[in-house]
Amino acid sequence: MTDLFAGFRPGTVIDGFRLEEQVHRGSMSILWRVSGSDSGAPLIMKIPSLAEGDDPAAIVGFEVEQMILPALSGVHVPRFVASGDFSVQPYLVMERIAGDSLRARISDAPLPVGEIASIGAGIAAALHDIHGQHVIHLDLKPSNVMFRESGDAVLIDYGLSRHDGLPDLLAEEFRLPLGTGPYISPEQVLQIRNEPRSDQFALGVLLYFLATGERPFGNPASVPGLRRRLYRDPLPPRALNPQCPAWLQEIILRCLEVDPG
Amino acid sequence: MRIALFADVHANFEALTACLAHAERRGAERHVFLGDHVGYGADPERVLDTMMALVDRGAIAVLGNHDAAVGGELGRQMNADAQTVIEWTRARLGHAQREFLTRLPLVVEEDGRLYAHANAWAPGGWEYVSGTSEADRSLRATGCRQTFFGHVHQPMLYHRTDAGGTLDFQPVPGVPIPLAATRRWLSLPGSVGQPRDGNPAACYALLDDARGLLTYHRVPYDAEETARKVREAGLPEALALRLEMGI
Repeated sequence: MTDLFAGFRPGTVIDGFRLEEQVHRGSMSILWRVSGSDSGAPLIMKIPSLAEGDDPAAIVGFEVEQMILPALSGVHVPRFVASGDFSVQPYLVMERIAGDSLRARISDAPLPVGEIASIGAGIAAALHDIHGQHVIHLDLKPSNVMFRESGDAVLIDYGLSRHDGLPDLLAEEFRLPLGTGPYISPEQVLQIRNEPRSDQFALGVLLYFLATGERPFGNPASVPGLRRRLYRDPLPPRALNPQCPAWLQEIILRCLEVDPG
Repeated sequence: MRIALFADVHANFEALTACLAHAERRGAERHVFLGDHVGYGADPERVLDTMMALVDRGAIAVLGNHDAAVGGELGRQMNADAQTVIEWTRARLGHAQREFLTRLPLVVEEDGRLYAHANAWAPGGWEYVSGTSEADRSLRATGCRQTFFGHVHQPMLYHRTDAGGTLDFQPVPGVPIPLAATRRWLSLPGSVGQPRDGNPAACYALLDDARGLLTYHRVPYDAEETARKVREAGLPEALALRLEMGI
C-alpha cells in the first residue's frame, strides 16, 4: 500500500502553513505542528487519510469536524484557525493544546478520589459549555480530553459530533453504530444521535474507569456486545474498589443509568 | 459574493420589501427570484416593477407555474382560488409586465448552481420536490452541485454524496450552514409571500458563495396589511387568512 502521507515533510507549506513536525499519526489522520499566518500561537494541522477503500465514515467524520469546529468557541474547545477544501487538500488548522491527553493517566487507574472529582467536574463543565453551543460531542473518551494550564478541560476531535442547527452528515446509513466501544451510549448503539445525555453516559464510563481501573461494559467489538449495556447494569464501582466513596459511586451510576427518568 | 434567494413572492409587496431590506443589511450583492412572482397576492404590478428593476441590474428570475399561467400557458389544472387570481392578475398587468413574465427562462445555470422553480428533471412539468426521493431524483438530474427551487413554500435542505443516499434537513433560521464541496445540495429557501409552515414570517435564504455558507432567514412583516389588501381587492378570503396564519 502506498504511503498517502509521503508527500508531507517538514518544511512543506500548505496554504501558508509550514509543516514543522509530525506529532501524531493515527489510522484516519495525521497531526503536524505547523507555523504560519496566525499570531505565532502554537498550531496543529490535522490531515485526513483518503485512501481508496477507507471507511467512508472516516471521510465524512472529517467533514463533520470541518463543519462543527468553526461553530464552537470558548476555553473548552481548541480554537479553529483554518480549513482546506477536499477539492485541493483537506486539512484543519487549530490551536495546539500543550501536554498529553487524559489517556496518559489511565494506566494509573484507580486514581486518587480528589483527582477523579476534579477531572470529572472539569469535563462536566466543558460538556455543559459545548451543549450550550448546540453541540453534542458523542465521542468522549480519555484520548479526547486535554487540560489547559489553567486546569480547564478541553474537548478535542469533533468527528462524530452533532450540531443541532446543522445537517447531520453522519445520518447516512452506516452499518455500525458510531462511537468508541467502551464509551458509546445506549442511544448511540441504537443510532440515535441527538441526545446530549449521551455525553453524560460517556463521562460516567470514563469516571468508572478512573475509579476502578475497569470498564463498566468491557470493550465489546460486536453490535450484540454493544447492545448488552441496554439491558445489563454494571457492577457498582465499590464492588471493585472499596476505596471509591459512596457519593462518587452514586454520581457514576447516575451517569450510566439507561433511563434515569 | 452574497446571493439572496427569493422564492414564491406571489405578489406580496410587503413581504418582498421586508426581505429585500433584510438581505441588503446583510450585504446581498445579487438577487435570484425562483419563480411564482405573482398569483395569490394583491400587488402584482408593484412586485413585478421591483423585480424588473433588479433584473435590469443583473438579478436572475426564472419562470414559475403561476407566472406561466398569467402569461397565457393553458391546459394546467389549478385550484379554483389560484385560477381566480390568475385571471384577476392578467387583467391588471401592463404590456411590459406581461412581456417580462412570458420571457422568463425555466432554468438558469451559473457558476455550478442551478436555479429553477420546481425541479431539475422536468422543470416545466411543475412536479414538487416534496421529500427525499424527489430530491434524490432532482440531484441526479443535474451536474450542478448546488440547486435552488421554490414551489414547495416550506424551507428545506437536502444533500447527498456521490456514493450515499439523499438526506433531508430542516434548516434553523439564522444559523449559517457550511455547504461542503464534497456533497450535492438542494435548497428550498421557502416562500417569501405565502409561507405554509405555520409561521407567517417571510422566508428567504442568503448564500455566501466565497465562504460556502447558506443561511435561511425568517423575516416578520405586516401580514395583516397584506391580508387586508387581498380582501379589499375582492380576492378569495382563504388567501387572506392563510397569510395571517402562515398556512
